[in-house]
Amino acid sequence: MPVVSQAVGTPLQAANPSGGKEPKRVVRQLEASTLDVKHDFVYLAHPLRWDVMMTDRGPEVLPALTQLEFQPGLAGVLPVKGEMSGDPSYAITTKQSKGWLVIPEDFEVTAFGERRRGYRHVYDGRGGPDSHHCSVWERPYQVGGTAMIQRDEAGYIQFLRDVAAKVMPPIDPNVRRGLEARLRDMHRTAASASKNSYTADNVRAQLEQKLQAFTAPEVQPEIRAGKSPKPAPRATSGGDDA
Amino acid sequence: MADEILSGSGGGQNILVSAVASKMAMLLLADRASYRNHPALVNLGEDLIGSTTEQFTQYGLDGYDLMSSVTEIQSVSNTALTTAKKTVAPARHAIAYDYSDYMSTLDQTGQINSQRLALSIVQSANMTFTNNLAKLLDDFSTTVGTSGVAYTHDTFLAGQFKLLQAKVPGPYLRILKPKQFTDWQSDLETRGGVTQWRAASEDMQALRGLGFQGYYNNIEVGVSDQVQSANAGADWAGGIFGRGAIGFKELMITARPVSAFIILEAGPVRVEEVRGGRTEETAVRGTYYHALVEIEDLRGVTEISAQ
Repeated sequence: MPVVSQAVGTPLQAANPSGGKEPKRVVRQLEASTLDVKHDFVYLAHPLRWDVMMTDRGPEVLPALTQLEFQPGLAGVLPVKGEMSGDPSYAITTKQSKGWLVIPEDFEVTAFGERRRGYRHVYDGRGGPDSHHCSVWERPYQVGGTAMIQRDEAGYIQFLRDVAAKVMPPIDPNVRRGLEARLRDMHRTAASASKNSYTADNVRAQLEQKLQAFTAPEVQPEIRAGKSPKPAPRATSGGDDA
Repeated sequence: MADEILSGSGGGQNILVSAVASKMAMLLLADRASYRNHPALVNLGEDLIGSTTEQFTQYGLDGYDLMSSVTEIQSVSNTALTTAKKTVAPARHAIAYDYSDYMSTLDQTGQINSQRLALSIVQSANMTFTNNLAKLLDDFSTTVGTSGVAYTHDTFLAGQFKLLQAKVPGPYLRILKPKQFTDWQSDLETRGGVTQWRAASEDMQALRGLGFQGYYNNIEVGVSDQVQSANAGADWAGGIFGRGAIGFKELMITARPVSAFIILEAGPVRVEEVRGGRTEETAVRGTYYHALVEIEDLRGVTEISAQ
């Protein structure tokens, strides 16, 4: 969906007796894009980053992804001559060495009811043509000169489910317990410390729903047992207090 | 009565133009709060020679390794020195304005000239830096808060506690999206317990616009519109970090061609004036080479909350 309207030529008159070219009146650009520059990116997942999302199936534990933006100079992304987005090879390798998992750019997804390969698309923006990249579950549009986003939450949630099933190992039981403890702490303090009805009622209710995600049994990973330690050494000389 | 001199008819109408341009110049709304000079950020220097990238090393020294107990004539084993490497690659960021002599002559506000635009470019560099900094806030593997739920005082404390539990030294900087901050204010406003008696709780309610908001629990709290969205636009991803989480490197451009007319050189930001050949146009071009990098993941926490 083009956001920047092009300057259009409007003929002044149909016939030109001099035989010259049609003069054109340049119409002022009516709708300038307010979308900020956002470079191309890749989604990353981390085995420690999970969250509970409220979905059409109720609360679900799903990966909390991040975007590595290919902005030259950022996080080790290298500049590429003539390109707005840089080379992320080194940045990705660094991230992978710290346990991050790259979601392939051609991952098959559904966005706004349409099955497609790849999770990002690009719009014209304040940085010029093709300067605003975003996920395919976000469609920017303008209302009164302000950028708004139409979102496909169901599509994004399905993407997270697919990432959890195809890219990530199952959530580690300790990470799962940590996530549960985090939400329980938030729930406990929201209920006890806040006198604000918004926090005490609304947030508490949201957290109560989310905590239901932990009723399902944990998936235990197979972890090799350690070796038996050597017997503790005993001193062969010295004082005897017995 | 006839032939009165009125604004809307007769002689009066011919005197007036449709609108007089004001000499007053006002700034449009924008986020202008920069965090470049905050001491939680590590400045990795301005020198770079021999390569376009620089690697720096982190060492597990000064208490990272503990001694093992060995008896009198027993040989001690070597301890593997723990190190980590990071790379920074300063990249060019630039902006240019082009104006004609004619426009500069007609401008009654005094804004359309090279000196004024050069000052503006320095602030653009600052905000580009802050924009890049905000993009790193969602890069930490430790997160607090939860998707779809407003930012509360508990989120604030959870982030703080994570840093303490991870041994992170200060100073700390927390950067939130305005919506995250106002959600926190909303919760703080009617919070019970010890929180309601704290001067900082009251201080955080003061309206200050974007930027520095004050200290809470010795954490410097800032608000920036550059904070990025998360979960396909459902949430905001602010964050808190201590010193050593994020570093930056700026590159001082030392080459000075004879033909370059440099009108401003503010550290790594250089602004040049370039005169058009035959068009009576002047370009004011600013360049800022810099890079930001996450140095140590555990020194920062991503804070997720509802948009």
